[in-house]
Amino acid sequence: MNGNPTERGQVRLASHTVAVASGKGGVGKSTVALNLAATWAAAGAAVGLFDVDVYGPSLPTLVGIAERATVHEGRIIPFRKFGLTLVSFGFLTLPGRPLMVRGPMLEGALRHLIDLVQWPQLDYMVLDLPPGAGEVHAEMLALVHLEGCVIVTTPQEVAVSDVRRSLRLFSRVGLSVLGFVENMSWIECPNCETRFELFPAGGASRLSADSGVPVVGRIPLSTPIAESGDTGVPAVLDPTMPQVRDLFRDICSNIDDRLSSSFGGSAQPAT
Amino acid sequence: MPVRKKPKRADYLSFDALTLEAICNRYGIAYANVRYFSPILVRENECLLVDSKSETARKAFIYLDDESLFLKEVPWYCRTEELMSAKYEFVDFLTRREFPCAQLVSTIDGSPNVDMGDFAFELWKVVPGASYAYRPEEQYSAGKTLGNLHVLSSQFPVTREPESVPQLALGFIDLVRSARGDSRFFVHELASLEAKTRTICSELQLPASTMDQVITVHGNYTPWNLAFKDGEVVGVFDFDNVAVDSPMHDVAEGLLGFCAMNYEGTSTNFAAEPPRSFNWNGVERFIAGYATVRDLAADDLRILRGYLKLVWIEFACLGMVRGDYGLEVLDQIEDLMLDIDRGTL
Repeated sequence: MNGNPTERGQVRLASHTVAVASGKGGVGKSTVALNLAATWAAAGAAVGLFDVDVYGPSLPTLVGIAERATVHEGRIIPFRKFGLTLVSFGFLTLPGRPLMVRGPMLEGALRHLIDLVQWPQLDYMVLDLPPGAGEVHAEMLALVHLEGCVIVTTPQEVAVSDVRRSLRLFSRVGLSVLGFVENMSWIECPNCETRFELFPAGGASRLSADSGVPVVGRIPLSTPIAESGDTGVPAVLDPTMPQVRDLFRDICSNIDDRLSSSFGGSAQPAT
Repeated sequence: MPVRKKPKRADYLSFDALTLEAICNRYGIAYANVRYFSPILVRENECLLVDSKSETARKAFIYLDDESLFLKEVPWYCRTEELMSAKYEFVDFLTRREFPCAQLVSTIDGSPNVDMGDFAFELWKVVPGASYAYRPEEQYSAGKTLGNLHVLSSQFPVTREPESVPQLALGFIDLVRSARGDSRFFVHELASLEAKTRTICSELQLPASTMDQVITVHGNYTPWNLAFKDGEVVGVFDFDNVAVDSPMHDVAEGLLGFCAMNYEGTSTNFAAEPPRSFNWNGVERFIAGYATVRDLAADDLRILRGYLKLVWIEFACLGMVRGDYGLEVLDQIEDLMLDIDRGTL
């Protein structure tokens, strides 16, 4: 197995491994995961992004890689783009094909992939989990040493109530929730720059008040951010969107603070 | 192989732990010693998810410390005593003659499979090597290996009735009619294809009794059932479609598969764009390789062109049934037919 296993037999993929989760699909979890990873990488850290969404891998589309992963001496060579080390089940299969695995085959698939990849030394590993709280989550929590997770939600109650389920799962297995990211928090008028809240406001704040977990960032519903998911370039790397870059810098900084305070060590890039 | 619609299966990669443990016990494999039950196959130059293969039956790779095994449910279409015995006897016959076919693993009590009532499972050693990479030397080696297979097969007793390519082609046309609800909009096109198929069959002038001209054939000699190393075939696997027919059955499938069909990556699915012409240089190489070990008799060459057309009809229908092709392919079948008429064999 890669890395140094912990006492519980979990693999360490990086100095800091952070999962990005969501209560339900469609809230922008994978976009947030990619932009967090790209922000840390832009600050000089060695960063990996591991899309473990077995059932709906979106990383190939998000980063514009259509090729299949290559193998050298029996090991998978991860793709490198935007300064990131990128791994996804989507790089092993054809687009649009469902991978219906469960039970021992799911555990085997995850463990086998982790062992097969030629991981470099990483400061941060961002794990993009599938939506919800299911079998993949349970397997990954058992397999990989995680320092915490960030939960992405949208403001409305229907999304927030699903997050509570994820919170319970992570609480049961003793995984720290580092913070909530509220996506699609507002929309800004392109003419007058007035902010409009499309959904009943304060979902993440309510979660925060109930759970004691801070909101580490809010992101607007923005056409350029949404479009960046189709163009294959993270929004934070688009020089025409400095405000997005700044938002994610703040979020990463807040997560670093949480990592430092939770674990007593520096969460700054080691490089 | 009966030509009928395969049952819909979405769980072809799912096994519960009890089933896997029961299977392992039958093979004398300690469940705790299995490193992974995995859908991932790592080959020389690529990493494949087994979902890129047929979705007909449940399958898994079993990784032990010192070897890799392929667990496979016996597909529904060959789950009869007669067909399974034919397959096992043929593979055993080839293995004993050092033909590079995948090796079947027997259970601790010597059975070729584990019968679990509704399902039966086989365990095969994973053939090392790489997938077909469209290299000229691979086309030559594939032809030569097939020639070797047929030389050996001609010594293998034929005890079953032939199941010829003409029958299969007509069966697949019927399957399109029954399996594709929207085929009612293509009634005339399907009727025209059937008429054309019957004409090709009659032009073949196959003798009424062909038992003396048939051998046991692989029945699915496509690129993805072969493994290569340095341009040479190192393994042939998937004998589920073993049949009795003219050797040209395999030759036609091989030529279509290696020199005409467009595939979706390294999967067994066809790319949406149907083939319109052969790579005739590839055909020449495949046949040259074949002819180094087995002469193509005048009768073989006489029926090969017709078999190529019939196998193409079979593949086109299979593509329509699977959804690889839209029914519009019915309008495009003729292009490859014309190319088959033009090409030199």
